[in-house]
Amino acid sequence: MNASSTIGRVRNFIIEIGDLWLFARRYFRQAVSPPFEYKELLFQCYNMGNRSLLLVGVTGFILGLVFTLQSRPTLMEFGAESWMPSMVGISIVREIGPVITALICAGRIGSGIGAELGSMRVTEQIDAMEVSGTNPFKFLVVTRITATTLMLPLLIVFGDTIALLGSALVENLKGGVSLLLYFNKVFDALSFSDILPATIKSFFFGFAIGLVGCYKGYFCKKGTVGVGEASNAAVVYSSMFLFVIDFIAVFVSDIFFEI
Amino acid sequence: MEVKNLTKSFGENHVLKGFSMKLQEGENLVIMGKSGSGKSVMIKCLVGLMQVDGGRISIKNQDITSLGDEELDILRKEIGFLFQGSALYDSMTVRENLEFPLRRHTIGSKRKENIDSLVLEALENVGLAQAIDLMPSELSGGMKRRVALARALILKPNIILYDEPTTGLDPITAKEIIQLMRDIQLKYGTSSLIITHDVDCARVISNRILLLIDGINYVEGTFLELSNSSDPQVQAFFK
Repeated sequence: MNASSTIGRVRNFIIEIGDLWLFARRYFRQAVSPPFEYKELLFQCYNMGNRSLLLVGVTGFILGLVFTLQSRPTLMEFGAESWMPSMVGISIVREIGPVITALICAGRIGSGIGAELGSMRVTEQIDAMEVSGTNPFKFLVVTRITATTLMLPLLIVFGDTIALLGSALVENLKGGVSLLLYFNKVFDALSFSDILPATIKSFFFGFAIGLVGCYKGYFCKKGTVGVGEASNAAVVYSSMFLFVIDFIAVFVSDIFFEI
Repeated sequence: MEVKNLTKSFGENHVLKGFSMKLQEGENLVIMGKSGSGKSVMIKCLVGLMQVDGGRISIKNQDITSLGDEELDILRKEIGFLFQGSALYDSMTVRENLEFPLRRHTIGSKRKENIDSLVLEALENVGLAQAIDLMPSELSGGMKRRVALARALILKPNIILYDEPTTGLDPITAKEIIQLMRDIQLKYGTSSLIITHDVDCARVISNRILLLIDGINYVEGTFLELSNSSDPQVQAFFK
C-alpha cells in the first residue's frame, strides 16, 4: 500500500465521520419535530427488543457461566472464593455485560438495519416513500435510532441478569452458595457509581448502533453489492464506536466517581 | 406541468443541458431517449427526488425547486409515480402498501372506512382485488406493476409519472399494462408523463412524443409525425 492510497483512505474516513455527524444532527432535528411516527417506533422497539432476547439471554448465560468457572480456581488459590459474587457482579454490571451485549446487538440489530435500509434504497422503496408524501428519514431512520437507544439499556439489564444467574448456578454447584446469598453479595458489592455510568453509556451504545446502521443503509450505493457492504460496514463501524464510547465513558466516570 | 431549461450534472457528466417541456391537462406525453440519456434523472427531478442544478419546474403554478419539504409533500399528493422496478414495500402486504400513502392524507371520523374503500377501489381498477392480503414476494412481475399502479393512483392524482412502465415485462403483460394506463386516463382524466423506449407503448398511448437526446429536447410531435421523420437520429427510435 503506497502513501497516497493511505492518505486517501484517511481522508475518506474523516469525510465519513463528518457525514455521520451531519446525519446525527439531522436525526436530532427531526426527532423533536412533528409528526411523530409512534406506531412505527413501537413496532421497531418490539422488533429489536423481542427478537434479540434469546440471543442476548443465551450469550449472557454462557458468559456468566464461563467467567465464574475460569475465575474460580485463581480466587481459590488466594482463599478468596467468597469474593466471587462481588467480583463477577461488578465486572458484569460495570463493563462486560454492557460491552458484550452491545457487540451482539451491533451484529444482530446494526447489520439488520444496514441491510434493510440498503435494500430499500437500491429497490427505490425509499424514493417511493418520499413521493407518497411520507418523510422517509422520520419514518425509517428516526424510529430505528430511537428504538435502539431505548431498547439497548433494557437488553443490557436482561443480559446482566441472565449472566449473574449463570454465575450463581456455577457457585451453587461448585461452592454450595445459595441463589439468595449469591445475589445478596452481588447487591452488597454494587454501588450507585457502578450502576449509573453503565446505564448512561448503554443509551449511547444503542444510539451508536442505530445511527451507524441507518447511515450505512440509508446512503447505500452500488446495487446488491452495496447492500452487503452496508450491512458489513454497519457492524464494523458500530463495534469500533462502541469501544470508543466505552473508553470515553470510563474516562468520564473516573473523573466523577473515582473508580 | 412545465419545465424550463432544466440542467443537472454529476461531476463532469452533464446529463441534462437545458431540457424544457410542457404537459397539458389530460394529455399523455411520452418521452423517449436512449439508455443513459437522462430520462430517469429528469423524472426524478420533477418530483424533487433529485436537486436540479438550474432551471424551473412548475406544477400547478408552483416552482418545486423553491418549495420546502412540507409544501413539497402537499404538492406530491397531486402526483402519482410508477417506478421502473415497482418499488413495492416488501415488508408490507398489498393492502398496507396501498394504505401507506393514505396515512398522511386521509383524515376524518370515517378514516378507517374511507381507507378501506379507497384501497379496494384502487385494486379493482387494476383487476387485483383478490391479491389484497398477499405479500409482494408472492406476486408476479406484471402483478407487482399493477399493484404499484394502484398505489400511484390511490390519492387520485392529477398527474401520473410513469418510469419505463413496460420494461422487464413479457409482451402480453406489457400490453395489459398499457391498456390499463389508457383506461385510467379515460376514467380519471389524468395527465400522464411516460418515460419509455417501448415504441409500441408510445404508439398506443401517446398524444405527443418528445425525444430527449444529448440532454435536450431534440424534437417533438405526434407518433405519426416522428415515425415518418427523415432525421436519422429520430428514425433510429422507430425502425
